Amino acid sequence: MNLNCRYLFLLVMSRLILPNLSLGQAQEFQNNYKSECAFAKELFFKNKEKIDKAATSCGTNSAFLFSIVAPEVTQFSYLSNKLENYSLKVFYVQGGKDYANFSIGHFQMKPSFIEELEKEISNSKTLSKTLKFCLIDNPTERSARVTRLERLETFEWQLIYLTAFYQVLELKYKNLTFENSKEKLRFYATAYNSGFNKPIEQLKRLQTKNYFPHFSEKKYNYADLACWFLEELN
Amino acid sequence: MKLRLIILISILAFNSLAQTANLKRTVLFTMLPTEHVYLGEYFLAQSSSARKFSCILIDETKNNLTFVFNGTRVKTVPGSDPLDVLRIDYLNSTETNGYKFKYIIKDKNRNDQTYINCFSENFGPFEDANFSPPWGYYAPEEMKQIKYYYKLGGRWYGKTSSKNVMLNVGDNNYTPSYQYKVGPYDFTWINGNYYITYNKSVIHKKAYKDIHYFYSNGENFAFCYPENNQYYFQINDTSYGPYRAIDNFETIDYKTFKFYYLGTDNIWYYFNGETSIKSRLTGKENFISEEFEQYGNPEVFSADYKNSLISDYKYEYVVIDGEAYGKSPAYHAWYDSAKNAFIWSGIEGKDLVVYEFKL
Repeated sequence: MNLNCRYLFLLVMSRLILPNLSLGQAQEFQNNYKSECAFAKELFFKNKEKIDKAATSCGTNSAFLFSIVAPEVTQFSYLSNKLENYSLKVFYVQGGKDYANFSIGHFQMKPSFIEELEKEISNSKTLSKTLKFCLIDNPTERSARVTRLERLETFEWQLIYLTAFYQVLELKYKNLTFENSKEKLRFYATAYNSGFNKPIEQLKRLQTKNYFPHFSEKKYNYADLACWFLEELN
Repeated sequence: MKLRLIILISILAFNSLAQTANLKRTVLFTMLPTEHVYLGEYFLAQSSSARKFSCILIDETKNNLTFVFNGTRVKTVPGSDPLDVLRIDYLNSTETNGYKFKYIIKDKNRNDQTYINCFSENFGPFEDANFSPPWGYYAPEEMKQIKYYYKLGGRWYGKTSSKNVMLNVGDNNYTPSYQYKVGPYDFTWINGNYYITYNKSVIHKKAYKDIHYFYSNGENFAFCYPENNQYYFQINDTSYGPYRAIDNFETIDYKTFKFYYLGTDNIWYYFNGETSIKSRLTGKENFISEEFEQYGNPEVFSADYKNSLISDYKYEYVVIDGEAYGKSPAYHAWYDSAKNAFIWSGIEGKDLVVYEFKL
């Protein structure tokens, strides 16, 4: 077998095998985090109307939008909101961006993630108009950090920030084409979980890596899990 | 009228002074302008008491981590994540040099070299090192004397005060099931199930689908087993559980043992055979002093419930009995019965401060 044939063979085999591996991984995750996955699905169906509305406002469907964050919802359930360490909030409000890298709420959003979103929105001519309500006056001030945390503590604002994230990505990667909605979800979910300001090539590489959940010894592929949720929610 | 007003103002001023006199502010530690306390995703790598403060500081401009113990900078290592290069195993601010940690530094060939610091004594470099035994090795009797474990020349050793013990580590590094065993107790595999045996004869009719962490010192045995997606821990004839998960299991002498389990409330608990203490997830995180974790807005009462302290991150003060005090919210607060005082910690710029309010 020459090199090209061997490459073609490997490519075909990986196309045949990888989806099954991914499915197996998602199945294992579902087994290990059974009640947490059930919690995520229940959250979706209980709030379907709100999520539908949010998805429509940014031109997508609710299952797609929610699947971006669904694996994180399982971790919210796993860690339980009551375990959110209050002192982290004090350090963030008092100390600013150095202390902004911790997760809050159903979608496990970080204050640093919201700060990045705000920057993207205010730097865009279009989004600074349509998503003006997401911006906070004097964003580096203490009062802005208090507002950000207050918002993050509510499900409604997490949903607003999720739609804002979707719109930022739609604009930022408007020239990127995806084979299908699952490929798009893989990219968007990876960008959500690992940082939407990472270079495209890095985000594509990360789609194949197992690095989730943060605190577990056993790691899973975040993009695979998002796709599994998409199938479950549709 | 004027006189009354003067008296009223004097009384108010005196009250205010008296209240301020009850308040004492101490700066425990001042970070450099480029430093901040290391913040994990869900925790602060920090612990504090009224007069002591320990933490990991990060200096992103220099890409350095510094371990601070009771206000003294103990060790600085290159790196940006303590989970990779600086892991604290033990911290007790009431002891002199009350800490143990491991750290990793690259040598001139860019290879990782691991060091151990035990109560201010440094050991290493090693190929790898840890305070807990490597996977596949559990030796309860020896554990008592082993200060730390290290790897050299591809083999693991345990360091006691007098000798280095070569360890017989199992081949399987990740799924330990057969640990330390001497004497007649054992388990065997019959028709798809495990059974406990004594001198190779089955002594318990109970069948187990799987067995983890099997120990025996000849007279006792202990092991963990899963059943119906739950986990149990058995020591001789006593079974503990069910738990959603078990982790970091150790038995010292078959009467003293400890492990972490995941409760039905999704919270990890540390169980020492008698009491369960709420804990954090184990395994991947750096050291956290549970005593100083604060999961909700501080709301503290005096012993007789006549005095209260509340704090909220939104406000730059705390409220004691309806009056505002201090210049920052508390990130941790408690009532000290010996001093009959409220004590709270705060961060003000680069200062880590503690306030004490005598009642």
